[in-house]
Amino acid sequence: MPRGRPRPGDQHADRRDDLFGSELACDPLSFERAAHASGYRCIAGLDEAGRGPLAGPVVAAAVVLPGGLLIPGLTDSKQVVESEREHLFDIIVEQAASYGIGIVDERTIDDVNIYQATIIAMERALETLSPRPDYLLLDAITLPRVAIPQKPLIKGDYRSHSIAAASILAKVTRDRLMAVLHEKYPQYNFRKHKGYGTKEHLALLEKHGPCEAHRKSFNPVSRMLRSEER
Amino acid sequence: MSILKKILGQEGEDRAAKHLEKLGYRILERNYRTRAGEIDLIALHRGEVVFVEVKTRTNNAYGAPELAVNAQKQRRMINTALGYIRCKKLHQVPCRFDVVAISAAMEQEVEIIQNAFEMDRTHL
Repeated sequence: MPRGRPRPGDQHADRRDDLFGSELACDPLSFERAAHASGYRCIAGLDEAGRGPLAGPVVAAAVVLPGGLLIPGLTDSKQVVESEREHLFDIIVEQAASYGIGIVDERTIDDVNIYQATIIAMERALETLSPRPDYLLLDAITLPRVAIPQKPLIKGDYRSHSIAAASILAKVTRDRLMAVLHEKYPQYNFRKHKGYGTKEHLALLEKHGPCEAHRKSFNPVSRMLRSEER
Repeated sequence: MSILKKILGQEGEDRAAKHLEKLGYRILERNYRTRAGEIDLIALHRGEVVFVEVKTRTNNAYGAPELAVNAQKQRRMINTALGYIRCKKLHQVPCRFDVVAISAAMEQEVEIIQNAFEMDRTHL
């Protein structure tokens, strides 16, 4: 059988899909459909934004999309440019069956560590969903305190449409909060780098020292504070 | 409003802001004013946007300060808050309304009533 573009009626085309898994970008709703086939009726995708930055909160979102809904252009928030994210944000908010946002601030991140803070943010996002979902799709994380069946997916934002939607809501909401923090602490230019450890941010951090919005448990902030103490 | 009352209110707001910052509130705006009304303090606290009304009382003759935010004042505050939420595009961020009661006589007395009243989310 010659390789190449599958033609209509080409039986091997189907087999190729099976081999590479229909999950591979082909069908962003495959996990939602599988859960639906198992009898679940309210399937939420969850994702977070802001685990890595040196400043600002971690934001989580939970989204329940109406069954079978595909939003054109919707994929992992990191692959979408900012203006397009804003546009997708409005579409998701309008079309979602329900959605929730959970935010955990820098203080709590320092107190409980970023991993636990992310879990708390996701729990808060879930709490505001109504009705309560009966199945969760997550990006490589599980919520130990939540008694709902969960499916953690590696590269979940890329493989599940619901997780992708949640990643957009989380990312855009976090960016908007960073814009508000930018007005309070303009010397760091949060609006541009959103608190991530870019060259510019590190240089401004060095120059002005950390502020209240910085995560004191994160390096190099933590290192700077320790050397200040001495 | 008399000058004395204004100064008293200003002092109360300063004390309230300082106190809240110690508790981890990140003050974003002071005396946020729009056509809809005025909000004494806007802050971020525990992942929520908090709209704060500061009440300073010189005595207890007319009851506790936390009871002084009547329905009309609540409506004005909610409408002003909605303006802020729209302006910063924070529709999806959880928010709440706190009242901080401060006694002008007693230096150290600051009381915070979290979720003093609620906004109907359908306004958004």
